[in-house]
Amino acid sequence: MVSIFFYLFAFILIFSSVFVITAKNPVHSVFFLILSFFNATGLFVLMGAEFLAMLLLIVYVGAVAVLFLFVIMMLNIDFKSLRTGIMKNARLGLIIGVVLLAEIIFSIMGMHYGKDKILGTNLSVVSNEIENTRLLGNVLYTDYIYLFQTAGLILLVAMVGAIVLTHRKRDNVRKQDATKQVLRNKSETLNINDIEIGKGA
Amino acid sequence: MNSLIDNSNLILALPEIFLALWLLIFIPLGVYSGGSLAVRQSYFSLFAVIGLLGTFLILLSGGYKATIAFNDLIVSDKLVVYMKSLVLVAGILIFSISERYRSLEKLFIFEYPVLVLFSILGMLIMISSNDFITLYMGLELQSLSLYVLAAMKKDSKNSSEAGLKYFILGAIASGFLLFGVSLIFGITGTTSFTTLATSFSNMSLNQPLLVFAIIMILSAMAFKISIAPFHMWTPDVYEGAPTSITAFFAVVPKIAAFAVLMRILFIAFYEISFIWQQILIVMSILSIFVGAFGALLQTSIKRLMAYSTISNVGYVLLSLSLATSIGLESSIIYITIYTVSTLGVFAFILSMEKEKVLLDKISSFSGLSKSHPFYALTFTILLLSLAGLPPLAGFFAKFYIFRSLIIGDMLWVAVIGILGSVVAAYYYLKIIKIMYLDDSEELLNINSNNYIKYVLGFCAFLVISFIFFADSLIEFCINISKAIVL
Amino acid sequence: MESLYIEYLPIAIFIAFAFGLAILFALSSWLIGKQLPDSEKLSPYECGFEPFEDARIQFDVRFYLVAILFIIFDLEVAFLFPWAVSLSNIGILGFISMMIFLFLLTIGFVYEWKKGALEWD
Repeated sequence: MVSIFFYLFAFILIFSSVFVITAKNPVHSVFFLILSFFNATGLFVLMGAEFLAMLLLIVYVGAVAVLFLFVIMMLNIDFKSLRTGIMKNARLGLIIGVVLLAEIIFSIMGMHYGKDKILGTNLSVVSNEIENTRLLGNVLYTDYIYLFQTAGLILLVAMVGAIVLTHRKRDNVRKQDATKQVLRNKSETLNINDIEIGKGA
Repeated sequence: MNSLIDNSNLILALPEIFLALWLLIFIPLGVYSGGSLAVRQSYFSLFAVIGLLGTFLILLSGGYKATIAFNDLIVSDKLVVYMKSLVLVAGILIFSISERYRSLEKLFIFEYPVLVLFSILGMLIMISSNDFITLYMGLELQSLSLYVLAAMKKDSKNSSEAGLKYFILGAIASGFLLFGVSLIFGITGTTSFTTLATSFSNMSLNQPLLVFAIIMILSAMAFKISIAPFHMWTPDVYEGAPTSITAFFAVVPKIAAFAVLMRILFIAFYEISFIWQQILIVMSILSIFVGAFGALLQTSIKRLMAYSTISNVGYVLLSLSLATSIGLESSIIYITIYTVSTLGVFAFILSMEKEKVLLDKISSFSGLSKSHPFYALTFTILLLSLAGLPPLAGFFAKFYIFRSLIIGDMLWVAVIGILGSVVAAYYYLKIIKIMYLDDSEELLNINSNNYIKYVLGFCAFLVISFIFFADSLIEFCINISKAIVL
Repeated sequence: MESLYIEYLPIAIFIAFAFGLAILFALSSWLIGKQLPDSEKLSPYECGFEPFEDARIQFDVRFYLVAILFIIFDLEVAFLFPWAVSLSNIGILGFISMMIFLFLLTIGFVYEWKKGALEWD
């Protein structure tokens, strides 16, 4: 039963990834990307990596895919003209891809699964007693505190960098400043003149 | 309290913690400060330099004791302290020479020093990493800041292009690194350098997957130090980025990446040197020649320096490929001398300004010897050193590399390396010819800036006088490498 | 492992049901409805004109900044989940560790605020 789900997710994942590259419309590409994220989530769940699965949904589907859509909307590029050279590049890309694939296949076929070949350490993060979000939490903030704080610094740099590169001060905008409005008093703004009748030209 | 936060752990990470805290003060200070931009700029630079100096002092006060901390995540030994010092000193010097350029280009924003400090913090984390995950985090912190710095000149098309190119290729390289590391983890069950070393000595190494993983990791590192088949980004990024950032690119990240590469090769993968040796030899010879021949036709001094970097890092990698203590020691010597000469060259480039624009064409330096003999002379000395003319420092740098190759029974590789350096000497000499022999119709008017002059003079002085303190530096480098390779 | 799959069974059933319904609706309208296509009916409609432009409109670059700042805080939140789950096990160190992390990002938030990146002027 589980293997049926595995093949289902894996099959859709591979095909939607192919469509990400081949789709003519970039917006469709993003939708196929989202579909492939969903299937990867399914695979993670099957492996018992629940936290990673949900992270993939929250971060990649919830935020990154939205960002991709924004970027596609923002760029004023004729996507058809981008595809003109594709056949020329595809040949080279195909060769590199085949070489890489062959390398991976040969490596995996040459891999020995004997006891002495791979160390006897238990690499599995799946445990029946404790769910893996808790397993992660138990080490991430204490044993790996150094890396955790570095991750915080990386996020800080990302914020600074994004603002430096995209934020521009606009000079020709009139802004509403609520504090300024409230603090205005009558003497500064109102000028009451007593004008005689008939002289107020 | 947990034992993790005891003294020995914290002391090891103290330079990084100090720099991070400094940055956390710096950012609010920057956004809340008032006053005119130009006045603030000098204060911010001063603030950044003080932060770097403080980090440097803390680093030196920590001593050389070899220790591991934070669950094997970080390490400190002679190599770490030395490389971190190089990074910090080079960072401070580059700050001082880029002041003038920043005011020319109106790069007044305080994020500039903030991002430079962030990237230096990333490099410190990289250098002291004892685990692939720490390495990755440091690398990302460093490169993320560098991507932004390369694209800092928002109104320049070239600068944006440089930033984008660097970002996309850098992201692919990071992906390669992660892929390689995850394969290593799959094979051995660990990512810690020291544990990897023991794992490899206890297992059968006849695994094609291992070769694949190492190729992935090495290609990622080769990208970061612009080694030949992965060097494509270098000339474009060097040309497009603001020149003061180019100076930074050419020197500081290279030191950090080499420091961590040394640790990967000589600690983690030392048992399997038979896998990486040949890969490194091929890549380094390729990059020596790409650097030498690529520079021949360049008219822009920044592009020329990019190719010069490519060939120089080729020599460093060549001696690392020996996998011996002598090879390690000569590569440390080479990096030190490369840092000094390249800093000097960029001090020169940053001072060549005419009508408030930095000169970039090599041909525009013609007649410099008549109008500004000091600049022409110091630059000539630095170029001759890069070309490897005795008795300047660059000669000794190359001499030690070739000596280590000959000792390591790689005579033919040494011969190829010497051929490459002969080609490279041609384009260095061509610049000298332009400065001394070509006449120019108009005299250059250089706005001489004291800081830059001092740095330029200092670097030239070091390069000339290297012969007098060569013994102590070499002995120091031997000590460092002895501590790593038994 | 088995219990894990059983926990996800309702979601699987839900997805299967949603797909089934969607396919059913699409199929039934195709089967039951009368189909007499001609070129006018099949062409896209734009106020009686021939459609002459791409339907995409160009977005302002400010959307991008908002989205990227959203991602950063989204990631920050992702770090909070395991922390909240295992707070009882990791003690005071774990607590302080997260406070430092949040402080780092608060500095970033202050920076954003003062820079005016959160304003839509």
